[in-house]
Amino acid sequence: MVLRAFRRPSAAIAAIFVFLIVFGAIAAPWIAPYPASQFDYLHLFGPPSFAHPFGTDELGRDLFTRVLYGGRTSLGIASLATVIAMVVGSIWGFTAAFRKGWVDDVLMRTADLTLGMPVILLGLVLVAAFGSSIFSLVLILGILFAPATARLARSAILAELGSDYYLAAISVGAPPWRIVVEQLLPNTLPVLLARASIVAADAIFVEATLSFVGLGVQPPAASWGTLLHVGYSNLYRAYGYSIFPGIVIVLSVLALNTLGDNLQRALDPSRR
Amino acid sequence: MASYVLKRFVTSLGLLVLSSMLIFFILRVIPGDPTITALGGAIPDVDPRALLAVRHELGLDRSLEYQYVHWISGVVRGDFGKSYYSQFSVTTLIAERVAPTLQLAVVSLVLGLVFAVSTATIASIWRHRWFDSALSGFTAGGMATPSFVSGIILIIIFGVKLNWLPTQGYVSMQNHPFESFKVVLLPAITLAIHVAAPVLRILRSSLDDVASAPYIRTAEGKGLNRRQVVLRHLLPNATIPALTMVGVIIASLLGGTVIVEYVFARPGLGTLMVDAVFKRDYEILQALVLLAAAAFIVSSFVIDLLYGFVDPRLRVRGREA
Amino acid sequence: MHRFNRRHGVAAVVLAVAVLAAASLGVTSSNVGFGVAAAQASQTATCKQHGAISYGIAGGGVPALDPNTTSSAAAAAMLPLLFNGITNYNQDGTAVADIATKWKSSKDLKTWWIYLRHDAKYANGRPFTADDAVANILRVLDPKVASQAKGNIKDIQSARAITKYEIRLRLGSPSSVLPDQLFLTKMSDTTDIPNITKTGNGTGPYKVSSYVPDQTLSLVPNPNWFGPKPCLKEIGFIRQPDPTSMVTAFTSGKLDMIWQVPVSDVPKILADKNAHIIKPKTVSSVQAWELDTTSPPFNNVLARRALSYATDRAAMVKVAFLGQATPSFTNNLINSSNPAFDKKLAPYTFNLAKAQQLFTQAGVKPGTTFTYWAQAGTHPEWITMAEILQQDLKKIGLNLDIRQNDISTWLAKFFPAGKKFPGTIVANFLSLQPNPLLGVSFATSGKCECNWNNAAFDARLKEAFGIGDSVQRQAAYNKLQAMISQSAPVIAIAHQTNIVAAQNYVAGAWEDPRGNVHLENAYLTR
Repeated sequence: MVLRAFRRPSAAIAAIFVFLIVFGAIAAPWIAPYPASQFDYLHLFGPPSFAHPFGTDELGRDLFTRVLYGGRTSLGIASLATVIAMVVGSIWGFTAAFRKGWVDDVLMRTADLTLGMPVILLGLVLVAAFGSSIFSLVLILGILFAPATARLARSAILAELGSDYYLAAISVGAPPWRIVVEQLLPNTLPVLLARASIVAADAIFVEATLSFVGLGVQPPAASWGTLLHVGYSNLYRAYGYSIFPGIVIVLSVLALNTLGDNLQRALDPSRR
Repeated sequence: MASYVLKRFVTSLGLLVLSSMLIFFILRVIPGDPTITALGGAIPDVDPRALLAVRHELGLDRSLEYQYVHWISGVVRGDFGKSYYSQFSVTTLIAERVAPTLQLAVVSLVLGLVFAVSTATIASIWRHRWFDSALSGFTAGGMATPSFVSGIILIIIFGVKLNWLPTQGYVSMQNHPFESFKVVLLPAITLAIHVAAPVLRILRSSLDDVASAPYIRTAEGKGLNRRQVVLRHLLPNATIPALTMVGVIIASLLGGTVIVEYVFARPGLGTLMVDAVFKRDYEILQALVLLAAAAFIVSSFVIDLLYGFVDPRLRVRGREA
Repeated sequence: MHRFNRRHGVAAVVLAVAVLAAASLGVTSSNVGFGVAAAQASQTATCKQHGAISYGIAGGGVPALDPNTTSSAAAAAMLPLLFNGITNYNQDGTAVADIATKWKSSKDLKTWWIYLRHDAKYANGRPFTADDAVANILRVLDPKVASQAKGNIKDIQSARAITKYEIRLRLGSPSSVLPDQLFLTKMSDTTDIPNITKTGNGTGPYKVSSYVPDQTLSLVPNPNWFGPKPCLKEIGFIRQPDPTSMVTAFTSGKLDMIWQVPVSDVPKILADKNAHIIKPKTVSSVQAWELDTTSPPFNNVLARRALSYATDRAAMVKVAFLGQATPSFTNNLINSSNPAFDKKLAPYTFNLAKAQQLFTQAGVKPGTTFTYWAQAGTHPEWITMAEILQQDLKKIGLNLDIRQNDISTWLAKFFPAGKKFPGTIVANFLSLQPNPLLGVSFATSGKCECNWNNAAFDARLKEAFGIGDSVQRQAAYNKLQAMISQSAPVIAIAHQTNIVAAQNYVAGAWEDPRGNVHLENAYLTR
């Protein structure tokens, strides 16, 4: 059923691109042409050339290498944040669906409320509170995306709770935890996983926005967002510096969104 | 119905109070405070005793509970306090910045919706492959590009290279309506992309869904041409699922204006909020968060009612997520 | 350009003498003050008031209009336009009379009499008198008012209006540079304190026509101004979202002047040939790293000196500032181009081996991590410098953890003085005053966030204020500079200030050594 998702050419291209950037991120230390922190004071802000396909940055480092390592950081943060968002969101949504009543109401209204607040505001306040190390960024992004996942988890579970096999399991007298683990989870997991791709795209997005105001990961580490930010502040020294990270961000988010869309369409018949 | 409304009202009020408490305490817990930032911005020094005196005068040395009660009792009376920096009352500051944000939000919403509905309708009538794929390309691309990126690109193309439109500021509609529209156009287009893209996506998929329904085939069998089918039957039924998006769109609109105002140097509530966070201007931030929460709660309530009104099938039980 | 009449001629000669004297002595003459407003002497006597200047400031607008309690660097650009002080700075960094006409002091330099103009009026028409001057001075001195100007005039014991246009100030200890010290105290309108941050009622050449805090500030000529008529119809300060969009707006002609241009954008502006860069004649502001000298490891002077040896100033100026700064190899707060600069100090030549040796002697083991504390979204040079330091420290086994924070978090770590921040290097841009004494008084106890609290330095400084003889005074300067250089309570990297760009049709604007732009005499040539 999953393979159905890749029948459309756009989905296939998206999948290939995602594979490429993930591969690039994991293999960066081996495939990068230069060491990550090799300064070159004689070639600051160099234009794209044979030796440096993307050019060089403010300390003479090769930009292509920086973008590769930046992918490591961005994708690393995005995937970890996604995991946190999915786990926390699922627990949140499941609890609301099972408990029903006022617990459900309170939990969901709180989720709605955080959705209503501008993400950038929450992000800024949380970064002021927790700092902008990789660890705190992962946590912050995870917290920011949990509420939306909670809503999805809750509706997915509610759909299952109305199904026949569930009622059958209840009437037979199976213990609740067993039903959850053996029957409900396997049925809701695909929907959630498909959603994960979209959350990852959003995480890259928000991380880029936070980096744009200077609150991204700290040097010497770099993410695509911080590279875009520094590139933009040096827009008139080196046009390429902001273009390449920018293109990579847009294409990655595009690919992840497309992938997620197609997976959702294939795996969740009710959502066609 | 009445009990539902009452229940919603009570929970909404509770949420409002909760969010006010949340933002209040979080702000005071994170490092930095307005007096330090106000007085430490430049060298040379400020006498630490003077700093203490200022904090005392502003009530920042009292207990958190006392400060909260003091603030809330002011809010109830309509007094939201003053900015620590300029001493202007928060209501004055917000009032002079509401118009730019409102204008931007409304124009973006209109532009985005008009674009989305018209292109989706045309795509449905024409059914040309290239138009369809161009549209889905636009949708995906629009949602994948951060608004500050698209904003900057628009500034460089239309503001700098072509020099057609202004790239910064705000002109009030009252005195110079044409100039006002020119100034809001670029930011509105930037934001409209983020409004149009998800609406377009939902519309197209729901148009597809509805297109295979039996009653459409009946309509076609009756002899109606494609255009009449789309306008009279497809579109009205396809917009119902799109209504679920409205809440999300309004939320993303509120959030999106922050970044767009920042990039286009527009003196609206968005830049007010970003500044207040960086400078820890507590009173402004608390008022803005309360405002945003209230706006969101009210709008989601209205949308819920509207949704129940539009789709009778949903009136039986409360709306699902 | 100048229409000379006899009055101007005399004034110019007198001024020339004063400037020459100042240049050779490094300080204004101590007993008699020359009261010519130098800034106005070079202006056309009459000009047609036309045109407007749009002035872009990035990263923050003007937060409040009270000149004596605002600390924003951007606000400093508007101060000379709305308000006068008793004195002001001219292009060489010497104090000249502003709303005063002349001054004199007693032989012991502890009592000063200042004579004020008779024709100064506030923008709302109210005449300015000695009572206003005294009220402003007392307000700045008030312990409950948090004013940046207080540090300069803390020593004033009494301020009284003797006649309608004369005030007398009594100091606790002698000071030969009181006119310089008075520069920061502006003559605001103290009759409406609750609204003082909103109205901006001053005696200066311009007055407020509209104001949105942090966003825009529009000024129009003040008809009650005592000097020659301003040559512009309007000056608008417009807050820009970030430096790049500010440069974009400028190069596409939408702004007439911009402030705090990033070094990396200077080549582009110059290449366009429609604009020019305005730089001050001499720079007194310095890029520095502040250390906490009361907590480990930088409570040990060897560790501080080690850090200074580990700082590759030449590379930092070349890479981070693209050559547009003057390195301070001797770790001096005073610029090497300042006449008072002590040329005999030993430089801290970049030497990692020596740094390692000193660190070990100070007890800093390999594997120790320092924190570099910077501000986010502004001053990208700070980060480039940090990355250079990070790599260099790595070579000798030490780690540097770079942290960028929003401005409030950044400030709260080390301000006000007295906070402890062990193992932390705080990046800061010190906008020091051009007068050498006032410049180094940054390191005074209780003032410097470095908590140096060096009683010997304080005593020396206090003594230096009272010295009248120029040779003795230079010896005192040398002693003070040596103390700062050798003890390194802060690490001075390079002298650099705000870069200002103006379109070629903007003339008459200049920048003072602290990095504040003066538009009092600006006019458009088109």
